[in-house]
Amino acid sequence: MLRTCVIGLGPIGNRHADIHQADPLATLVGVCDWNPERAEAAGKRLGVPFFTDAAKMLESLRPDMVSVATGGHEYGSEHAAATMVALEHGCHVLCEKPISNELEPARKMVALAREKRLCFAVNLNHRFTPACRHARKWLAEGRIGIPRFMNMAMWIGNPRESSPWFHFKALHPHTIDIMRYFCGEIEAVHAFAIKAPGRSIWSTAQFNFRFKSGATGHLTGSYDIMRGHPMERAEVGGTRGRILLEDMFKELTLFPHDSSEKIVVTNPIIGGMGDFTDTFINRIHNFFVELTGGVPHDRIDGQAADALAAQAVIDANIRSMRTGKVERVDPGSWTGNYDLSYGKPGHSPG
Amino acid sequence: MVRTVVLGLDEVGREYARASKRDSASNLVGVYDPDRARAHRLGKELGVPIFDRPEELLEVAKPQVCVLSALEGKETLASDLLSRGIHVLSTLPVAPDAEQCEKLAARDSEKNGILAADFHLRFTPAMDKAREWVSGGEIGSPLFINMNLWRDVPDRHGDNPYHLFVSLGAHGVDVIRQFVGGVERVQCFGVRDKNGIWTSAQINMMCSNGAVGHLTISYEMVTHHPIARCEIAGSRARVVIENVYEDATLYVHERPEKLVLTNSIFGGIPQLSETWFRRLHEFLTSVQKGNLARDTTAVDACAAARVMEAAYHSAERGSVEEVES
Ligand SMILES: NC(=O)c1ccc[n+]([C@@H]2O[C@H](COP(=O)([O-])OP(=O)(O)OC[C@H]3O[C@@H](n4cnc5c(N)ncnc54)[C@H](O)[C@@H]3O)[C@@H](O)[C@H]2O)c1
Repeated sequence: MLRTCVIGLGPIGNRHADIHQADPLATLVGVCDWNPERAEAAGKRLGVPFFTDAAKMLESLRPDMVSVATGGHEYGSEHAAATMVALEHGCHVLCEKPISNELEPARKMVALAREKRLCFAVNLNHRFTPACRHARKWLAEGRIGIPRFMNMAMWIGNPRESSPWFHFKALHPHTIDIMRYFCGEIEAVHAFAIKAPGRSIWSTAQFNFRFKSGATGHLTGSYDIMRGHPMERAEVGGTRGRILLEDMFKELTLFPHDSSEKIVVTNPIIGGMGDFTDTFINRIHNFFVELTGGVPHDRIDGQAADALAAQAVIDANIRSMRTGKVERVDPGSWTGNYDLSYGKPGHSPG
Repeated sequence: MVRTVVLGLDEVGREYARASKRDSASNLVGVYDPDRARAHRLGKELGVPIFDRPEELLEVAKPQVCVLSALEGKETLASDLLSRGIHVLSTLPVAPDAEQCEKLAARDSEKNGILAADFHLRFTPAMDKAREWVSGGEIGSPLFINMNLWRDVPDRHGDNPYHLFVSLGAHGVDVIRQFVGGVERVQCFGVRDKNGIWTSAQINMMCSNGAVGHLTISYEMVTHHPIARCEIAGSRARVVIENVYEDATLYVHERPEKLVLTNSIFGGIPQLSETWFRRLHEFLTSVQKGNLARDTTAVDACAAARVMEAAYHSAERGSVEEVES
C-alpha cells in the first residue's frame, strides 16, 4: 500500500485526494495547503492530518508519493517549489499540468527527479482512456499505415484574463501530449491566434506543426467556448486509413482505406468511462500501479520529461507569435518515449 | 434550352457532361477531349456528338455555354471562347496561375462571354443553412474556422506538383471564404511524394474577419469514407458541416441541445454528382434569365488561387506568406 499526500487543496487537489482515498493501492495520509482554511477544510473532510507547510508534512508523514496540485500564475508557477520539496524528501511525484509555466524550473524539476531516480509524472489525464489506448494500439499495428496528417482540437470556456499566454500554456499540455503520443516528436511550429472580443489574452488559436517523422499536424484551441457540447477531437490520416477519436473516450473510429466498413468503438454505458473525472481516476491509478510494480522512473507512462517536451512545443508557438514566423522546437526537449513504428516490420510497437 | 458543350472530359468534366444531359434547361450539343477513346466512351454513354478539335466543335455545335475542364492551354481557349461571346464555366484551376486567372476574370463582360468557376461544394442545403446561421449572427463574433477536404489521387495528379493546392485546395478555400471573407496570411506544412508532388498539406490562416482559419487537404485518403468537414465557431455557437452535405449542425454553447439539418433521402442531395448538377443548373438559369453578371465566382477563383499560391510558397520556403490581393 502506497502512503500518499496531496499538496495544494483547491478544487483539483481535493479531487486528487478523493481519488487517492478511493484507490485500493493507496492510503492518503495527509494533505497540505498554505492557506490554513483550505488545509483545515480538506483535512477534516477527508479525516487526515492537515498541514500548512509541505516540508513539515513530508518530514512527519514520510509518504511514498505526493500529488502536487498547486497552481499560481498561468496555472503553473507554484508547481516547481512544491515538487522540488517532495522530490528532496524522496517522494515520487504526480504534478498537475502545466509542469511549470516556465521552461527553466521545469527542466530543474525533471533533472532533480532523474538524479534521485524518482518517478515523476504529470497529470496529462486526457489520454488515460481506453479509447485513446486503443487508438495508439491501432497506430502501432499499422492499421492506418504511416501518419501523414493529424488534426486535434480542444476548447473550454475559461474567462480568466491572467496572462496573454494562459490559454497556450495551461490548456495545450494536454493536446500536445496526445499529438506526440500518436505522431511522435514535433519539429517545427507556427501559430496564428486572436484575442476574442472583450479579452486581453490570446484566447483562440490555430497551431500548425511539422512532426519529426515528416507528417503534418494541426491544433485548434480555445478558451472561448463554454462546455456542454463536444470539446475534444483527434484525428490521424495515414497511408492506409484514418482514425478519429471524439471527446477523449466517447467514440473511436477507424476508416480503413481498403474497406468501406468503418470500425467504431463506442464507450459502453456499463463498465465504460463515466465522465471527465474518470480520466483523473485512470491516470492516478496508472501511476499507483507503476509505483507498486516498481516500474523504473524512466519507463513510467506520462512522465514529466514528456510534459516538459510539450511545454517546449508551447514555447516554440509563443516564439512564433512574437516573430510571426515558423519556429523550431528545441530538439533537446525530445524524449522519444512515444515513438512508434506504425506496423513497419522489425520494430517493436513501442 | 441553352446549347451547352463540355471540353475536357476528366472526372469533373464528365460529371458536368452528365449533369448537362440530365438538365432540362440544357441541350448538350457536343463534347471534346484530346483523348479520343475517352471522348468516344462518353459520347456513346450520353448519345452526344464528339469532336476532334475544339474549333470544329465551336463551328458545328454553336454553343452558348461551354464547360471547360482539364485541358492543356485551357486559359487561351477560355479567352478565345469568351471573346466569341460564349459563357464559360471553368473547373479548377481556371488558369495555371492566379495572375492569368485575374486577366481572364478582368475581361469586359459587356462585350465578352461571362467566366464562372465550378465551386460545386457551395451548392448544398447544408451550406445554405450554415451560411444562414453564420450570416444571421447565430455564432456571435467569429473565432475560428476549420476545413478538411480529401480524396484519393485524381486522374491528373502526376503532371502538376501543385495540383493538390490549385484544385482541391482552392475548393477548400472557397468554402472557408464563404464564412470569413478574405484570407490575409497563410502558413503551410506539406507532405510530398517521392516525385516531389504535394500530397497532403496543413494550412494555417489569418482571416480578414478576425477569425483564425485552417485547411487540411490530402490526396492520400479514399472517397468511400467521409471526404470533408467544415467547422465554424464563434462566441455564441459552433456550426459543423459533415461530409459536404450530409449534416449541418448548430451547437449553441449555452444550450444543451444541438440543431441538426440532415440530408433527406427524399429530395435531398443523392450523391456528390448532384452538386455539379446544381452548380450547372444555376449557371444555365442565369444565362436564360440574362442575369449572369451576378455570378462573381471568377473573382472568387482568383482569390482562392492567390491564397493557394501563398500556401505552396509557404510550404516550399518555410515562410509565412501574405496573400496578394
Ligand atoms: N488535469 C486537468 O485536467 C486539470 C484541470 C483543471 C486544473 N488543472 C490544474 O490543477 C492545478 C490546480 O488547480 P486549482 O483550480 O485547484 O488551483 P487553486 O489555485 O485553486 O489551488 C492551488 C492551491 O495550492 C496552494 N499552494 C500553492 N503552492 C503551495 C505550496 N508550496 N504548499 C502548500 N500549498 C500550496 C494554494 O494555496 C492553493 O490553495 C492547476 O495547475 C491546474 O492547471 C488540471
